[in-house]
Amino acid sequence: MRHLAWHLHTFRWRALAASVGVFVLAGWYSATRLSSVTEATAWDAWLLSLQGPRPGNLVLLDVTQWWLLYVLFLYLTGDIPNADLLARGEGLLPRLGSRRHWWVGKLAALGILVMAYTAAVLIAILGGAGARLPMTSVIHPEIFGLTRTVEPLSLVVAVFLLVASTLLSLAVLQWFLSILWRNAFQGFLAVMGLMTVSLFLGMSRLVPARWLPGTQSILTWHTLYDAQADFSITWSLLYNTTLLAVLLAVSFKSIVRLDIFSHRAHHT
Amino acid sequence: MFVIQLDAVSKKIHDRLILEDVSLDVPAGAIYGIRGPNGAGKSMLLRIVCGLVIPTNGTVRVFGQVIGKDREFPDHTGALIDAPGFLPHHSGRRNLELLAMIRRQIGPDEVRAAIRRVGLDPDDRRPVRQYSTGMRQRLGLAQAIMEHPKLLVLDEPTRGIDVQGVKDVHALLKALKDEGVTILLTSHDEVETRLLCDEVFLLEGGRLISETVRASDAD
Repeated sequence: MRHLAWHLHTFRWRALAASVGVFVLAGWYSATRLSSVTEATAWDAWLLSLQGPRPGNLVLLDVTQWWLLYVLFLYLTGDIPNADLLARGEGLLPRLGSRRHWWVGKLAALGILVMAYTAAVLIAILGGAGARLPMTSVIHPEIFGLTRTVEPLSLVVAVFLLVASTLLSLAVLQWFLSILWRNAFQGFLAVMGLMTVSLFLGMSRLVPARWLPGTQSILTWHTLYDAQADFSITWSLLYNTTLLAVLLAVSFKSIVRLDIFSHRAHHT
Repeated sequence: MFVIQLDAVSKKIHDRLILEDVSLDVPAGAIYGIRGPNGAGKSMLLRIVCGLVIPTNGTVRVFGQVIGKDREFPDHTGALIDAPGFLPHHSGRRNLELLAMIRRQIGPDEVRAAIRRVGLDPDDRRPVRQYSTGMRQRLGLAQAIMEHPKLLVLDEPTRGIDVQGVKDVHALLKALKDEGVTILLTSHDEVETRLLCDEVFLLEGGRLISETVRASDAD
């Protein structure tokens, strides 16, 4: 795809790289929380950083650590489609040939970015934790109350897929809403609001957590932590894939007929 | 031969009629101007010509192709509408090179030539976020002309440009016309449109009125 280079250049790579630096601190901080546990490893601290808040137990620190990964990414990428369409549209779209080509390229670039960002965050957390704890490739299930023992490598794959698929589906939702409303900040607020509602509904168990968008990346709500939860990692991956497929279908249908103008421009 | 043919074009947004029954034929090699107050719908009309906005009613033909049916966006067309936007962290030349890479019709030398033609320095390495309004406008013009379009659609091309710069842009547009480029532009400036345009229209209340007809009516 010839125009992928353009789409990749629209991202704020430096700001995203700096935001990854925050997760070095998060890993290091999780390691300090485990410093009283004799046999704790950097992998334990890594899981502590990524597991998310416990159900029914709203600890601000856990919520913030889980939340930060999504807020930073969504904030730093939220205005990109609107900048392409509303500020650069007349120079960009005719060269691409169609709105559909533009959206395909934008989504492909987003997919690449999500995978790079997720991998960088997971490595940064482990690096930060490794500064205080030994890097021994062991996760202690008793620290977290896991229902079974887990190999770090298989957990890395599961966490990577959960975080990346949640991030991708939320980012596509944010972009689509921003485009429809011609306002990137409204799209960002809508997705943040959705995540907040999901978090509190899931916490209070008013709605089965597995049906709430955004909570698929909260490991502590899954069967791995609670055998009664009926919330497996496979379910979450299927949920995110389905959400993404629905968003793609709806967004393609809307974007091919989209009028490209800003509200400000239509008053001039 | 007409390059642009608008036939009874209307556009309604949220129950507000922006354009009403607009018809216009622009012949090849001519400069046509559209004047009108703020909010008259000038930018919207140009966006419709470029395929960026889909009209509620009516047909738009550019180079004989129906926009939205035969083509989503017109061929051989360069456009500058509203304040031009670029990737703020890249230089002007890098921005144009990235855009040129999409079609691969021109190389780096032609990008440099387009930048020089609008009075900017292609070796200026400053990021676009440090450009003045006038420099961004010139870069927007370079973007519009760099792939040698046969039609230019320009929304207030001299906006934010200093007095000498305005003269340079006028000279550039006249030179492009001499090269056979058809130009449709909007302007607030009556003197500018009279100076540049073969025909001037006034967009008022969403309707397009020929200034020539208005003048003869007044007589």
